[in-house]
Amino acid sequence: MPETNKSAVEGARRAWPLLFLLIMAMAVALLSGCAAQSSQPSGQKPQAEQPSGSGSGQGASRSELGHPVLGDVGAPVVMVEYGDFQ
Amino acid sequence: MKEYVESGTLRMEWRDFPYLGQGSVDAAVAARAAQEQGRFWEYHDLLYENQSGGFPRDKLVELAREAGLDVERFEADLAAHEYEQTVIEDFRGGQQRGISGTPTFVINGNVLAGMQPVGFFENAIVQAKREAEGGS
Repeated sequence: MPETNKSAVEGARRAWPLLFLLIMAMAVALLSGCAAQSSQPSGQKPQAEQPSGSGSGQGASRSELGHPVLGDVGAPVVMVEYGDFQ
Repeated sequence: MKEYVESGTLRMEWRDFPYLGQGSVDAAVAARAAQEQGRFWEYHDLLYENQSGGFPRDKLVELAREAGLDVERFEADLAAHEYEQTVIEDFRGGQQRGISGTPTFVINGNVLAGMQPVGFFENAIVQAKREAEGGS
């Protein structure tokens, strides 16, 4: 075998373990990324529990229609009225 | 009450307690439809001013018009039974807390059942504020 071919084969032999390690590292990175994504339920954030009557109750969207309120959230006195319009 | 609300002393919260039958439920649901359009309190006042004769559908719609609501949207919400569940949940919540009639007021946790003179409420608010601020 000519000297130039010999050194090329030697070089490929030396590079092979490095190439193998690089491929393995990429595979591990890819798999761990998939696992992290699947453990999070479709981008939803945990919801804090809404305190009673904390919404403005005016013009809220249907799903957020809270108790109708009047006055400041931080008012020192809160009066809850249970009422019937009849 | 208005001056206590405006001064930041008082916050009022409404809970439906429709214990007098379907008419009560219908009016409460209509008021929630008004709330959806940002006019709950205007509609609330109109309902109380027009209690006589009950609350048939056409009257509820007429009051909605008077309150400046988008009547078409209001009627669509009523037809869709959009807020009945909200009203019923309020009612059940009241029952669980021992409410048995209206009006019942809970001021910083203290229950006042039945209509009271305005001065009575004023005293209760002043007292509750004092207690909330650490006085006696």
